[in-house]
Amino acid sequence: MNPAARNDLFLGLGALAGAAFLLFYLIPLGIVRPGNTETRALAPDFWPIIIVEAIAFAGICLVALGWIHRDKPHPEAEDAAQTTRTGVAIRVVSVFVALLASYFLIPVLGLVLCAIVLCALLLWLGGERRIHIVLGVSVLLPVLLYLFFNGFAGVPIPTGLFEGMLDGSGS
Amino acid sequence: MIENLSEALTLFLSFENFAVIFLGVLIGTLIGAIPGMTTPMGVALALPFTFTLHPVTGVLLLLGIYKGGLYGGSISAILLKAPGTPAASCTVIDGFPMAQKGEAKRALDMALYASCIADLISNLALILLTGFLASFALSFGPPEFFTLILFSLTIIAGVSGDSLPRGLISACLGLFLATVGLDTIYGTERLIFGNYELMSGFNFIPVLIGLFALPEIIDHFARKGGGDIAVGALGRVGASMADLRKCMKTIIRGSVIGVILGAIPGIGGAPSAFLSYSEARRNSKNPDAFGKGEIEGVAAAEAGNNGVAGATMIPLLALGVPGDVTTAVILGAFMIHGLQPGPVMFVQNLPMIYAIFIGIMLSSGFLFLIGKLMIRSVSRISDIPNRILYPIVLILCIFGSYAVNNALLDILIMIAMGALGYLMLKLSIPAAPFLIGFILGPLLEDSFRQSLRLSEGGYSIFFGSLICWVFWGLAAISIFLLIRGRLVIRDSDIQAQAEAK
Repeated sequence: MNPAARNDLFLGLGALAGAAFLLFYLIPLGIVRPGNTETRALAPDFWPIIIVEAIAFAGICLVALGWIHRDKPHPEAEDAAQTTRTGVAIRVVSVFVALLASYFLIPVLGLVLCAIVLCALLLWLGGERRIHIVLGVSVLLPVLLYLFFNGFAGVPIPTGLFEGMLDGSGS
Repeated sequence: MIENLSEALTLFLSFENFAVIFLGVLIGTLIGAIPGMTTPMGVALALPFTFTLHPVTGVLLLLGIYKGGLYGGSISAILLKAPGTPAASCTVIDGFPMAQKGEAKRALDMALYASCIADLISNLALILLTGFLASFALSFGPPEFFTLILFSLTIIAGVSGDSLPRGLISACLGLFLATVGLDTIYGTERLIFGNYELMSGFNFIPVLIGLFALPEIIDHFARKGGGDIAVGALGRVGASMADLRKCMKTIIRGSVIGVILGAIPGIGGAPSAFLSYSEARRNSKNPDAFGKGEIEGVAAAEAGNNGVAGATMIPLLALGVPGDVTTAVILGAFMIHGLQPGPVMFVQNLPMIYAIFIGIMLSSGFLFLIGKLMIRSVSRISDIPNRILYPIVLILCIFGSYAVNNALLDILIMIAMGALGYLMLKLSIPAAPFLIGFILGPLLEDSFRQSLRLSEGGYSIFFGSLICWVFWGLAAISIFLLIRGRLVIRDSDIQAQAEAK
């Protein structure tokens, strides 16, 4: 089967499954509908349902296109499986894990320290091996951003363990 | 008239006024360029400093920040793919691909030229057409809003790339995400699942940053740092006079769109930027280049965005109605000084209004000057290797997402949007329709439901005025042209294949 057509087919089926999930599970669960709506079009779930129906329609179109073009010759078909998918997947997942770990550690370590660690890690992952660059960028940038947001813009940046030390109010 | 003008000049001609306009534009440009720092935030931060200033000086400081902020958003949009403002997100569509091609300076130059020209046209409209535009703006009710936004949404088809159904899925995801929050009519919860931080819906900035900047960064790491942008000589080449001439029609068209939409309270720069972009693409001889780094796309987006700058002051000064959040803060500045914008102000404080007009005109000149100086330094960002630049951008994105609402949840939303954006990138689902749906969705739904409330459920309200009919007609023409364009492309493909055989 033509890879582009196969992609269309799978994406279309995915869109249909997603639309069904939204329509039959998420919308009834997440949208409170008052009993006294003046007309159907004013109900809080009217608009989301219309949108989901449009997703389903697009899904049907993709499935139909995939089916129609399934035997169509495709010039890029032979280049498809060249990438090392496992390596890519590991790197992508690593970055997301690092991001999520930083997010969950912010209340404990503070945004500045988390940003320092994350920045250093990403610089290293990206291939930067000069230690003065890694340390300089990863320390200076979050500290400068902290000073800017906290001092100038009046945005209270979470400092976690260091609360009270940075603003001078702690012991 | 002459007496009023001479009084206005007396009020305006002071070093203090020149200095605050310069400072305001500079601060605004810097604030707009930092993801997470919004123009309303900058104007609100500066508001307390105006208490001790003369009313004209105070208002000019805020206006300078406003104008600088509108332009500044384009800098991070072009260089980092992280739009500083929702309106600048339209600039990303062609600005970032230009930067990737090593044409960052050219894109930044064009963004500046378009911004300054649009700003100037908008200022002239404010000075010359205040009365006319204010009365036109008043004729816009919810049904007119609905048809206007519906017409704006036809651009989705234009930025969907090769696959219209993929574009539709993307736009619908954006529209669906925009429905999260409290229902505007009944006040009931919609898809917030008890998380009260989501009651006002998803904030624009974390969503935009997550959707645009993060997938690019993730993709960089997925390719194991593959390929730094080749800036080389082209990175130093700015926009030429030929570029400006080529884009002038687009800039003027975008400016007029910005002026008209800016004069209507509640619309703002983002729909104007998208409508201007859509019209530029529709009128272009080379519409397929849009979205791939077309300089005209940058010009259109920035002209539409900045065209609203002066025009949003029209309902404020003429009617006392703020057109957006920023002008609402500026209204506050007037009121702090005991002034009430509106028809009475034109009678009682005309010299003050003229002095503000003079300052507004001057701000366009300062915007050009500051923009030129800034481009010289910021375009060097493209010289930083990606392996260093991307972690820096990511940290900026994290701080920026947090700073908008001081909410950690916004960082999580940014990460989630990044995951969605990366998935969309891999599935060849275009991100631009998502963005358009997300930004225009609430306006579309609100105006639709408000119209139906006015008509007690009758759909005829959407055909009840000439303005509605004009927008229905324009939408129909757009769709017709789009279908015809796609058929022409398909026919030429079939013909090319037949010739190849």
